Amino acid sequence: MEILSLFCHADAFQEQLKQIRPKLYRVAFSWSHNSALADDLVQETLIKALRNKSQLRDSAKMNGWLFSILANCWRDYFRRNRMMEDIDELEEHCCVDDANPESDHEQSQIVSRVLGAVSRLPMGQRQVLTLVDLEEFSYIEVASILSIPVGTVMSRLCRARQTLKLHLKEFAPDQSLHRQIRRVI
Amino acid sequence: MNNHSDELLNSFVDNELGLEEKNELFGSIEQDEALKARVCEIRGLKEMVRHAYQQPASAHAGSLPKRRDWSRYAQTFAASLFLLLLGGVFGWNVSEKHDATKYHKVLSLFQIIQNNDIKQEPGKIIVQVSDSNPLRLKTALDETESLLKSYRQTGQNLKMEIIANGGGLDLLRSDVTQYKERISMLQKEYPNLDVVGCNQSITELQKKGIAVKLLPNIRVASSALDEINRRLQQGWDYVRV
Repeated sequence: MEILSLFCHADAFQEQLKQIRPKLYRVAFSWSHNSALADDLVQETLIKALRNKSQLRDSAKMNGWLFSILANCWRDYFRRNRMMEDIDELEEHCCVDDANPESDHEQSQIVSRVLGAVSRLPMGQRQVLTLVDLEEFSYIEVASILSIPVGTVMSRLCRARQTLKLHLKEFAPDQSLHRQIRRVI
Repeated sequence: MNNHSDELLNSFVDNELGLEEKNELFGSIEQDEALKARVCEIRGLKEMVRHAYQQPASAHAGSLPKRRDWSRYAQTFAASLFLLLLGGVFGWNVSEKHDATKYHKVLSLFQIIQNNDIKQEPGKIIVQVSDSNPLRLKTALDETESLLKSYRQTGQNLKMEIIANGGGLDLLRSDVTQYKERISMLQKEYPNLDVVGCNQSITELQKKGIAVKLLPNIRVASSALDEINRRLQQGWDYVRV
């Protein structure tokens, strides 16, 4: 009976991982803007989760735990690649969207505008923004996932949205032009 | 006139405020059009971000890496764990800057495999190559061959599999690879070597209008990830070049 229950727990754990996988991928993609890398990050995260399952004492905290692993994997990726001298520079790192012009064309304009704008955000801001907006983590949860103070979460989120607003405004139809046209008419 | 900070409005939109603060802000919003516009703007941004990332495009959404049955492989536990860790360490090391150093690192990874005593169980190693870097393609073949040879010389059983995906698929594409003869020779010489291509990577290339023709005798797996997961579940060791 006990053995059976152990198997059931293992199955439940795997089932939970399976369900959360698309969410992990979505966030990994929003950080890396590279589908192959996002897949790798998720794979690494899930392997680590399976290996360290015993560290998760409260199953209610599984989401946060998995996203913490993902954040660590992402950080490790930069360390391994030595993409910057100081790992703290990761917070300020911007990436370029790997979407090509063809795929851009396929996407609706608003989607490609937003993806482009998010990809220009410094990494620290992008991580906070996507965890809050995509996965609806609370500020405290985001602070725990990224191991940063709640105040930093708030300030990064604020800067991210301010920047996003500017970037999206840049791409939006020029209101002043419309006004000029109206005047001409 | 509204003097509410952006942080406060973000907290409001993200449902981070207490009931009292929220009620107070609702009152202010009702009386202040400019404040209402700011809140709407933040809400709009939030919705746009959600919309932009709505489609989790991963083709691997259904599969999971399976946990290995460590008890069955207790004798190889230390070696395997070491391999997994090293596989992770070297796996993402794709910068072009230090190829020579990385070559030696990957080389030493394989030497570690060779030096580990895994005589009690037949060796089972899956090698993933996902990068088109010529050095990596060559290293994957060199070291796979070296391992197969040394196991044969010492009379140990070894099953090996090379799984190629992403840029690594170049290794198996008949019109791209520089290793057609070598792979064919390895397959003839070592029936215990399986060479596998990732169907997902093939499909992605085909979507871009690239015709993909693989070398003969290449097995195609639904995806590299599924194949690796399957092998991990079967107790194989995993190395990523």
